[in-house]
Amino acid sequence: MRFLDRMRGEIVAWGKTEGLGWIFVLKATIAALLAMGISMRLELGQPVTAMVTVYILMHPQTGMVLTKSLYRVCGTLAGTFASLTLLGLFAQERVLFLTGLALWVGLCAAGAAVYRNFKSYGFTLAGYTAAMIGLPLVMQPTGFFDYAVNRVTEVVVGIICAGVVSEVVFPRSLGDSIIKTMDARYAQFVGVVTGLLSGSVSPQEIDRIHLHVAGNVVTLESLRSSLFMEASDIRVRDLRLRRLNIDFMEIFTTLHSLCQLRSRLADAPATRALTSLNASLAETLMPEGNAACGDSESARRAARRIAEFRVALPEREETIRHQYLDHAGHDERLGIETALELVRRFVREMHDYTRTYASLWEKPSPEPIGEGRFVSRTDPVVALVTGARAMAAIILVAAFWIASAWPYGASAVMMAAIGTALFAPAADPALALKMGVLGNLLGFIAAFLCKFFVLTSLNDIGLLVAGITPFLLLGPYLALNPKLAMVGLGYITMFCFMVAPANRMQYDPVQFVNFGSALILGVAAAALTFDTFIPVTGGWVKRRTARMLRGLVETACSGRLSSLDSKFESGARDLVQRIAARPNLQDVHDREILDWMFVVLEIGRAIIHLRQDVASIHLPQSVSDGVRNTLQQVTRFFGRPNLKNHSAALLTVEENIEAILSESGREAIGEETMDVLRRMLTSLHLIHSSLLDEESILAATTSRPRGIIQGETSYAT
Amino acid sequence: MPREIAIFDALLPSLFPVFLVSIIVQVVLDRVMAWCGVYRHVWHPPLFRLSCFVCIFSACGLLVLR
Repeated sequence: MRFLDRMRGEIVAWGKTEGLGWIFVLKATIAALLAMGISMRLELGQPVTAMVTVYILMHPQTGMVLTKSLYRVCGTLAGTFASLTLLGLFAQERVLFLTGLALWVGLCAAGAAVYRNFKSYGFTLAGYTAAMIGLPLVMQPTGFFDYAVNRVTEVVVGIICAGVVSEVVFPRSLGDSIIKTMDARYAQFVGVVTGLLSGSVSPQEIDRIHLHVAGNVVTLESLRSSLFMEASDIRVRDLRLRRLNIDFMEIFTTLHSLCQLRSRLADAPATRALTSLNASLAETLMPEGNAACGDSESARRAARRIAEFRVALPEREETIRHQYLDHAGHDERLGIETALELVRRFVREMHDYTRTYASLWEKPSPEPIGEGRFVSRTDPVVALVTGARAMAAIILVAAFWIASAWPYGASAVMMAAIGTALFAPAADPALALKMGVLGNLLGFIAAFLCKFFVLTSLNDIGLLVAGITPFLLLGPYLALNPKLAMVGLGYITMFCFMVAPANRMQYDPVQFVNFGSALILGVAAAALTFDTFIPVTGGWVKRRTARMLRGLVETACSGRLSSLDSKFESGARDLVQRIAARPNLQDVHDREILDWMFVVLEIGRAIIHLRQDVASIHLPQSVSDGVRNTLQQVTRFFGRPNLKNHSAALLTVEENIEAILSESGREAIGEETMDVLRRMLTSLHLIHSSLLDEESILAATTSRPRGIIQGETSYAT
Repeated sequence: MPREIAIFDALLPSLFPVFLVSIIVQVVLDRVMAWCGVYRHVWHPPLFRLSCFVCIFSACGLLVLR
């Protein structure tokens, strides 16, 4: 009995870790075999298409498969119509046809780069379905309609099989994984915030924390955006999840500004009081240093403690003011006021966040929640370059095909299109493609073994399934490991294409080797293009990213005020997500992007607060003119960061501070106006001190002439 | 009703429009049931959803082709 019990314990433990992965592997294989069987039963010609579709769609989370399917159907239809149009126009002209196809795939790749998540996926599929349907038919255009109908039917069979199997067999709901992400985030979050507040964190740690925040926010957003196909009632919580994500980013921006300000104030006597204030805030968040656990009960307790702290805060502020303000210099006084304002804002944001988090799983309350949307931001130039890169890959292979009259050229072009489309969204596409080529080689060998040594001696569907299953299992198993995911994808697509199970199997080793090498050469050509043609990990693209980050400040200065803060915060996080996807910084350019992100977050946020304050009441002419001037100069400075614009921006900010100070010295000013003026002063001081910061990238950029920032060599590095 | 219908001279099985209509009905029904909280009393919601869809589709198909 004891033995059986222990056995059961072992099995349960295995099921919670390794077992989940194996369930996914089994599901993918079942779905693929089902798709194959149905396609064969319907005599669709190429059951491979359905199988490959299943593998491209399968994802460990359920909801994601259904959402992907929806976009995939749309993408497939768009691709079919594109190839129909191309064939109709240029059936006799291969050069024009291939150019048109390359253009279409390029456009789709650009579209995929502009959009996020599953919209991007739809573009990807539109591109490669066109290649997959159009290319095999260049030789016999009259068969187009039947061929296209068959391919589209296969794709849809694959989509339905993947959707149904992943939904019905051991479903793992997206809602659960969102809950897990949120809980894990909260558990870490309190610890991280306490660490940052107490100032016991090294600069590298701080970088890592902020990148982690960016990655976490983007991940949650992509999970949330695919929720709308989910059965669970988490849809109702959508608004709160959005709000939590925005609040989360805002908290870290405020916290960063606070930490920066504190380190700038380092030698002032009031710093000690600020530090003790921060320490007691940290104590409030995490009493007696015990680790926070992510559940709504502990969040509710934390919210109650923060509320108490918030009530006591004004009194503590008064004490600090009394102690230090009287014998502090002008600058220092502004610094302390700003720090106090930031603490107040931070406490308010923490309170909101913990409260929303605690109520996330309760019934929706009538309490209104502010609207907030995650807005992604993409550089249009970089997106066009991505499209041009995909186009170049296809034109390269097509030119080789035409020049060498290669009988299998069409397959190579098709695979180049598939390769560029599938692997381009990865964090490092060149690496992903190389992994994909490796996977293709593996798949080629496995397919050879399977097709000519196993399948030749089998002769019905049951045995066919038994014969290919062991080979199929390997693909999704590799895909479970994040490092080998691309190898798995390459392996399984290649294996399916090569084995090509069909009602009438063809066993022709010569054709097999020719077709296989054409496919591998196609992907290899795509990998080559991604590595050489303005690579995504190269300096040029990264400098564009830094410029886009600076553009966020310009948006903050001139964009429409409503929902500006969520647009700003999410834009900044979205831009750094490629860096955040890596475990550590790759080169000087990454460092530069990160430094710019910090500066942009600090100044942009202050500007948004400044503008909100200006818009909230009617201000005297001199002050509002000053603010407008400041915004103009800051915009100009972030457009072209050089010494001249830097000093101009600094000067206007100083003038603006002076104007507000003299305005607030006047007698006939209401309580409310006084309050707004004080808040504006703190925002301006934050901008001022950030512009003057010796440690930030601004100092490095403005002290040297433009163009020779450290490490800036050529775009190919 | 005929087994196949012609759209732009391409013959489609007449079950196809029925399939599309069933999807729409299913989506509406799903929203309503999620809103009422029916899924909280169901053992395997996705399977339940799938079965609902199969019932709707088969019923409509039988009605149309009878």
